Amino acid sequence: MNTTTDRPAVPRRARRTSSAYLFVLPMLTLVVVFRGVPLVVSGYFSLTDTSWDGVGRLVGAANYANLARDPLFWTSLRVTLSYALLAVPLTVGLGLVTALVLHHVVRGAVALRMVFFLPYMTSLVLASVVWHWVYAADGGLVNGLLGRVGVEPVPFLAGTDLTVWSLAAVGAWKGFGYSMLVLLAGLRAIPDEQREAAAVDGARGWSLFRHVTLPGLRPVLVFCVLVETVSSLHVFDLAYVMTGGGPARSSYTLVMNLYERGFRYFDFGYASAIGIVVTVVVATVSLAQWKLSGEGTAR
Amino acid sequence: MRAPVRCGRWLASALVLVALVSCTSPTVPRHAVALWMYPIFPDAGVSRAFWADVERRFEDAHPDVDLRIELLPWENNNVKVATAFAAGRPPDLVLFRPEQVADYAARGLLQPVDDVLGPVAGELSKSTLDASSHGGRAYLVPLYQLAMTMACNRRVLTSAGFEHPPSTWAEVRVLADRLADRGMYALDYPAGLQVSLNLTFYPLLWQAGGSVYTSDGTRSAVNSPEGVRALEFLVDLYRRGAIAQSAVTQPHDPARGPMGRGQAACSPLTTLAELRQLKRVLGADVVAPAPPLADAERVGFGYPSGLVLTARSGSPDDARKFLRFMLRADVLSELCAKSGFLPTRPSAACARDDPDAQAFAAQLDVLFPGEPRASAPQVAGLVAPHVQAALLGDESPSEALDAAAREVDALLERGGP
Repeated sequence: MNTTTDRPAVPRRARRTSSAYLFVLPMLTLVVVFRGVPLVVSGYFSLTDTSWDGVGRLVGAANYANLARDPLFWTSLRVTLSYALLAVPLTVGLGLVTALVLHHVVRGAVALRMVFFLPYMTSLVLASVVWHWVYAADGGLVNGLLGRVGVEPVPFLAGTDLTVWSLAAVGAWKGFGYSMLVLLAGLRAIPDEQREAAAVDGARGWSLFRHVTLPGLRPVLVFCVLVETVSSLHVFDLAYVMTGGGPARSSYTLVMNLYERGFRYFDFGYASAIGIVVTVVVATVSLAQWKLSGEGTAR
Repeated sequence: MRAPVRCGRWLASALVLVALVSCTSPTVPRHAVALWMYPIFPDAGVSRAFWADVERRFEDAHPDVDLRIELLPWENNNVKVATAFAAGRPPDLVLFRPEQVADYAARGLLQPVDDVLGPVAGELSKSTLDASSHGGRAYLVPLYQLAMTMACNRRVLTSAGFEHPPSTWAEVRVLADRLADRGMYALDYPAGLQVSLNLTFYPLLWQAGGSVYTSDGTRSAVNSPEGVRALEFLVDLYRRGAIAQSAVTQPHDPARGPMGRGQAACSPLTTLAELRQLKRVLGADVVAPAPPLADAERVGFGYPSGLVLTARSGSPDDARKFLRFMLRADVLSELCAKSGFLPTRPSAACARDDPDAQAFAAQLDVLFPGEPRASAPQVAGLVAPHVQAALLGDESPSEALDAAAREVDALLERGGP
């Protein structure tokens, strides 16, 4: 009897599995065609001296050896990591604060959500142009206001010290809306019973947030941090439009270096090597975050 | 009874077809010639109308050629052109600058056009011919001239006691002194990394008597005493507030920068269209065109742009016919009148009664097409950040140029690009 009752279960599971694969197949195809194949081709190019005529010969690890000796590469790596270290906490932090506010606001929550999400929808190039004016040392909005209270103009973009900070602030302003929405969904997924039970036990304010809300949000927070980290390590257009990588290469990022090498100087082999390094850096940092957060451990 | 009717219909249809075919003109085999053109007119509508008219007139004169003009945006122009060449599918003709000519011709990707240029070569200036050639052969058919001159704000100059625009570095220093306590800038200097050094630091370098490369082109010469003097002049102006602090991230856009806001005395200009735009913003009487500055010599940056014939062209003879058509004085004159760019052939001069156009034309003798070598873009990419570092005080002028020269020499020693 067992045989007869168990028999249909296996094909059903198999059917479910194959259905799942079928659903995943379109996205998998896109990932393989538009991510996997270019990555493999780029890996090959990184071992050649291919230029714009498409002709190249194998040079082994010469491009990587040149990278290791290239001060410009280390400058761009340092700038990129500095940007990520500033932009990720700022973006996720701002997203978390606004999500907490919206979670408790009863009236006008929808309108506020739209207002906070608006920067995310804005064209980055347009936003960069406006922020360039906001930051301008001469006649800019912020410095104009500071000047009225007797403060000397601050070189937000006109000096090497504050450029990455200024760009990170714009990046956070532009991106926090996405984190806010994800975190808001995460907050709403935390059962009210948990908060009520903690409240009965005397938890209030910070204690309630620290011991109930934050642990409940952890998977969503990890997701937000990962997404923002990947995005920050790829930063290009923001710096390209606002500073062009300057002044004095103080905002010269890895992807900007890649772009210049590939599409300004047409050194595709070298640019591909930078691309591979960017991929390795992003994968390493993401994996480390995943492991450190505990989300990657087996359950 | 029905069969004859059907036959009659078939017969009638066949007759109509025969009649239609006999009415059309005899078919001429047409060879396609593709041209990639970019916006060189201030107005997109004028651009479309001009090129449609060119296409019509050329095809009327050459019915065997199917000219296909593609109007493309400037965005990522370098990338798209390079990709087309890399894929082995470039157009027959494409708009190029001299530095592109040097690079592509060195790689054998262009066809010489000495035969096209020959009949008018005597009319072209030496700098135009030099900029159009590589290794002794002509590769560029120059159509118009980009000329970097200056424009000055008469109101600001008058307030500083200047009746005429400054014409030397010494006069700019005096102007800077007089404007220092008025919150005005002597120069509108766009030093963002997006701006070509050909529009910013290099003209000062040439005015001081220096050069980017040594005469044999194997090493950098930016750190010569002349180069250091040019950078010291610039740094001195920046430190004294005679150049806007935000210049280090400023793009070249005279009408929207300090000049357009009436805060600067003088600004570099690249086209007649920019001068006209400034006049619209500040007032026609306020803006005065001025020649490039002089120190050891008076030099401004200017180069011809034009069309190149690609090595893979499928119809090189027909493409050459079009190049000859474009070089006609009447076509160049019309191009000048509508684009605001000066023509490369003096006999094609336009707007002879326009004082602004004449002011631009008067500078042609002092224009220098730069040092168009294949490595020029990459060299500029290495020098520009050090110029910025000197402006910001992170490096002294000599330290900055020494560091830039070391990086350029290392690049040239590696043999790239």
